[in-house]
This record gives sequence, structure tokens and C-alpha cells, in this order.
Amino acid sequence: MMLGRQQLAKVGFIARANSGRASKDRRFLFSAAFLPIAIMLLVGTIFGGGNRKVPVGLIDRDGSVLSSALRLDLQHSARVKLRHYTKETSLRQDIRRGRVLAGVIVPWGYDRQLRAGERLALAVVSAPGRTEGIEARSGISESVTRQGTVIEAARLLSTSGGVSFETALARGQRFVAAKEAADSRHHIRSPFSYTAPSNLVLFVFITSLAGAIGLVQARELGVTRRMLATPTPPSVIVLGSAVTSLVLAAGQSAVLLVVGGALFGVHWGDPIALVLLVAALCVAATGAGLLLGTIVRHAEQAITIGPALGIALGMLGGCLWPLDSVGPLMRSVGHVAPQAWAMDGFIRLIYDGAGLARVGRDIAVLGLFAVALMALATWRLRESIIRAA
Amino acid sequence: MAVLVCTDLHKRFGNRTAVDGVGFEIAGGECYGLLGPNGAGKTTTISMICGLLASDGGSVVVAGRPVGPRAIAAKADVGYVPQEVALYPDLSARENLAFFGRLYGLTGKELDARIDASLETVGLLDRGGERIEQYSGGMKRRANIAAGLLHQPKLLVLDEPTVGVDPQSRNAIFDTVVDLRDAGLAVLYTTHYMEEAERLCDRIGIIDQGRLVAEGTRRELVAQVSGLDHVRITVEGDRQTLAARCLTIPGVDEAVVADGFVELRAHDGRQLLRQVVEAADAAGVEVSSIELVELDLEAVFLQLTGRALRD
Repeated sequence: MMLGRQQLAKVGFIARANSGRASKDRRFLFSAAFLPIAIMLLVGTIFGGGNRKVPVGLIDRDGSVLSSALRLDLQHSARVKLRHYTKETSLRQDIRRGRVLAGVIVPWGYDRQLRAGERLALAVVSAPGRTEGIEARSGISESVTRQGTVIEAARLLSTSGGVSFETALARGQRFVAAKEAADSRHHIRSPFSYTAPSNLVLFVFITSLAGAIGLVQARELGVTRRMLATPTPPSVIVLGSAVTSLVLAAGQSAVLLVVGGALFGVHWGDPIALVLLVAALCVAATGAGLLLGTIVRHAEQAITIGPALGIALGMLGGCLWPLDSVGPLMRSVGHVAPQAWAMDGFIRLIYDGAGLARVGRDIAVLGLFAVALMALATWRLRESIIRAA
Repeated sequence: MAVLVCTDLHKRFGNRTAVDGVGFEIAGGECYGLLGPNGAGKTTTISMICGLLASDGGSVVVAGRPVGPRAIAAKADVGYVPQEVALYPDLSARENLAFFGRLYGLTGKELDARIDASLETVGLLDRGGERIEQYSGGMKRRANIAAGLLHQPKLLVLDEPTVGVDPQSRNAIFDTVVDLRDAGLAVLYTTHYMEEAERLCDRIGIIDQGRLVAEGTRRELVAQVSGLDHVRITVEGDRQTLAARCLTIPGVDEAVVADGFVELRAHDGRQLLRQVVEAADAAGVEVSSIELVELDLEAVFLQLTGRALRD
């Protein structure tokens, strides 16, 4: 249904009035802004790690030219402090004891397979439940990617003629070493790099889900019924409610992004990808909140269920610990929650320096969650508003 | 000329008939009372009149325009004051009125002027800046009425506006309603308090189990059921047995059992008192009082429906 200018203006009135009410509510300000910032500060200070090099173990079973090149790359990495192991049991024991946060096992045939242009899987073992594990995995990933690129370039040059593989490889290694030295300042990472996005995702959802109480209260007070007695169609009330939640989620995200960047030194990464990711996150969270508002019957239920559901989905989606540190099954299950896709996107942006192309899939999936939740929520909300009459 | 014309309204919820052929008219400057017990169909009827609920049959026309959930523009002619205080408690009365005023399409100076006028009408002009949650129950009710007056409707619908209100605030609400009526507004007032209907309403419709069982002025309603004396026997014990025994007394046409009493409709009720006492003894019930009742709306309702208003 197309809405006229006057009805669209009413959407604005409803959103402005309700977001104004929320912004005057001290409890809302505490739970939406103060609490996440306090938790960011606390967790980032205690567990952040920051500029310290994270300890990583290496077992080189191949003992070849290429495996040595990877070892040297890791040794010179700005993020990784390398320890050498010969036995996998010792490596795993040290990971359990926290002496190293992750381990790389270079398998037999590493050199041969790469020279032949075959695909190869490197086993990476990491410590569960520690946010620094992300830093370790990110450092390993950087070295492996760098070496993979150099090897692939050397292989292509040698097969196209004129240069031997070893010569091309040596040139490539010199080039990446120089580039790594030049770029090392970019590797300075804030200790809040994980806790800032994870709390942003967690609290945007918690706030939106807790926001369901506003819908229920309007219904219980009879305000919704009274609004319907004015020359205002139900679709305007639905849109007004949706825009209110969206404005609050966007405002909360903006505050946490600014605080994360300005106060905690988090480099959020590619701005376009960041804006799209946060927009998809806000719409998904708004949809979830509105949907909950149509399911619960009383304000007390909304108060109880909203934050609990937000925390549960946050745990599942990697807001409390990295999904990289759990098993493959739990990782897959975790991606049932939209939070997991948002966290994947943030980790790629912040830790991998990824651009829109690499974060595109996370944004797209989160966008699908957003569209599905919003469509279901607005349909149910319209029905519930008509029932309220 | 009639501001509200309701014709043959019907509404069913599943197997239950909530409103069954209700029809009435209200003219400008008239207060019409819809009197009935809880669950009689009053709120369902006004929900249809305010365009909140679609009727299953019949029509509602306000100021010449049909009203319904899809007739959005026609809702501007109706001012709805719900039973509950449907205002945001964390906003001031003024802020609440501004919110609803904008939904009626009011803006700028016109909105400010209407807010002042509405607050003045309900006697809250000097307290309009206070939050609703800081108001007393009566003040909340008056602010609730102000929100229904804001857009200068042609019909004001008040759904039990005095429930849970102290006597002083109730009188203030009555005065407001009378003033509005005298100013030419058509007022539909639902209540289950017969004193309110008697005091405020020019005409009264008695609604029970979804049907409008009688309609008219108080005098017309009483005339519809008079002719017999009403003898009310307040008793403790088995009222059904007492009613059955009283029906055997010559001159008693009807015995209605209600909560705490039995009411007889009889010819020459004063002559029956001795026989009533004997019937009570025979029924084994203890009589607290016997009185000859002057007919009021409560009695009219009892006679028309066989039930007391508060049953």
C-alpha cells in the first residue's frame, strides 16, 4: 500500500516521539550505551592482548625449502611469536596450558605439493574460548596467504619460461619481506579489536530484543488502539514502530563505533563495507525485536525473554568467544544466529583488512536474515495491531 | 439532525454473538447513554462506531460519512475516549496531546491552540506540563478525555470514563461532559452505573447480551415497565425457594431472583407484606428487609432483562 505524504509524516512523528521517549529513559541509556562501553573497556583491558605478539607453535614435518620459508615468515611476523615443536602432543599440551594460543602443523609433502600446484590443507590448532586466538589465527593466516601468493607467482613465472622457480621464489620473498617491513605499522592492533565489535553486535541485538517491551506496553496501555481510532492506517503504525527501533539500533551502533574508534583505537576497516554490515545488522536486530514484540503477551515476558534471548544468540553467534575457537559442528550451528555472520564480517574487516568483496557474503547473508525477520515481523505486527483494536 | 446513525449492527466472535442488531441515533447536543452490565456488548458496539472493528452487518454513519476500519478520513469526526488511560505515562499531558494531535493531522500553532483548549476544557491547563504518571487517577482520566477532544470531533465516544475514579474527579468529569453536550457535541456515554446514565444522559439505550432491549428517556423507560408495584425482599438463604413460594401468593405476577434479594412484581404490593413474611418463614430464609421500590433504571434493567446491572 502506498502511503501519502501526510501518512509518511505520521511515521516520522511516531518514530520521533518514541525514540525521544527512549533517549530520555536512563535505564535505556545505561543498557544501550554505558553497559556495552564498560564491558568493552573491562574485557579489552583484561583479555585484549593488543600489540603483544601472540605465541604460536609450529611443527615442521616437511623440513623443506618452502616449509622453512613459511617458518621464517612467521618468525618475522609482527603479530606472532614463534615456538618450535617436534611432537604434536607437546604442542597440544602447551595450547591447553596457554603457553601458545595456536599451532601450525606443516605436513609431509608440503614443498612437493605446492611446487606441483596442488591444493594443500594446513592444520591449525587453537585455544578454545580466548579472543587472542583470533589474533593468532589471523597472524598465521597472513603468513600462509603471503607464502601461498609468492609460491604461486614463482610457479607461474618458472612455467612461463626465463626464470627458475628458486630465483622467482627468492625475488618474491625479498619483495614481501620489504613490504612487510614497510607495512608493519599497520599491524598495530587495539586490544579492543575483538571486544568492541562483539559487544556492538551483542548489545544492538539485546537492545532491539528488549525494545519489544515498548510494543507490548503500547498494546497494554491501549495507546495502539487509540492510535487506530485516529485517521492513521495500521501500516503507518507498523512503519513508525519499525523506524523507531531502527533509529535506536543505528544510534546505538554509531555511538559504539565512535567510542570503539576514538576511545579504544579500533580500526574498523573499509568504511563502505562497515556501513553496509552495520546497516544489515541493525535491520536484522530490529526485525528480531519487532518479531518478539508480536510473540510475547505481557511486558514482563518481554523483559525476561528479550535480553536472555539476545545473550543466548550472542553466545551462539560468537559474541562472547570467537567461533574459531569452537569445533566445526558448533561453528556451523552458531551460524544459525545472524550475530555469527555479523561477527565474521567484523573479524574480516578488522583482523584481515578485508574489503567489500570479501565481506560481501557476510553482509549478504545478514541482509537475508534482515529481510526475512523484518518481513515476518511487520506482517505479524500489523496483525497484532489490528487485533488490538 | 443526527450526528451518529447506527443501523442494525452485528458482530460475532466465533460462535459468540457480541452485538445483535443494535441501532440508535444521536443528535448534536445530545448525550446518549449506553447502559448495560460488563460483557453486554457496549465496548464492541463503540469499537465499531469508532472504526476500530469491522461489523459483520449493519452500518455506522457519523456526520454523513460511513465509518469503518478502512474509512480512515471519517475517523476525524469521532473522538474516542477509551476505558483505560491510553496515554504514555512517561510523557506529559501536553506531549501526549501533541502526539495524538499530529496523528489527527494537526500541526504548528493550530496544534498548540487545540492542546490549550482541550486542557482547559478538562481543567488541566496549569498542570499540562506534568508527566501523566505523576497525576492522580482522576487527572489521568481527564487527560484521557482531553486527548479525545483535541481535534474537535462531532461525536465524542466515552467508554466508561469514570471507572476507578474518586467522587470529586467523577463530578469534574460529569461537568465536562455536560459542558461539551451543551456546546453542541453529540456524546455517546457507556456505563454500567445507572446513576451516571440517569444524571447525564438525555436518552438511554439499555443493552444486554448484545441486544438493545429498550431505548428512550428515563421517564419513557420507566413507563415501559411500570404498572406493577416492585417489592424487594433482602434475604439470606435460598432465594429460589422464596421466589417460588412468593409466586403462589395471589397478586404476585413475577418473582425475580437477584444477588442478595428477590424482587416481586405485584398488584397492590403494600397489602402483600404479611404474606411475604409468611412465605419467607415457610421457605426457611431470614428476611433482612422488605421495601417497596420506586422504579429507577436499575429496576427497569432488572425487569427488562431479569438480571441486575452488576450481575
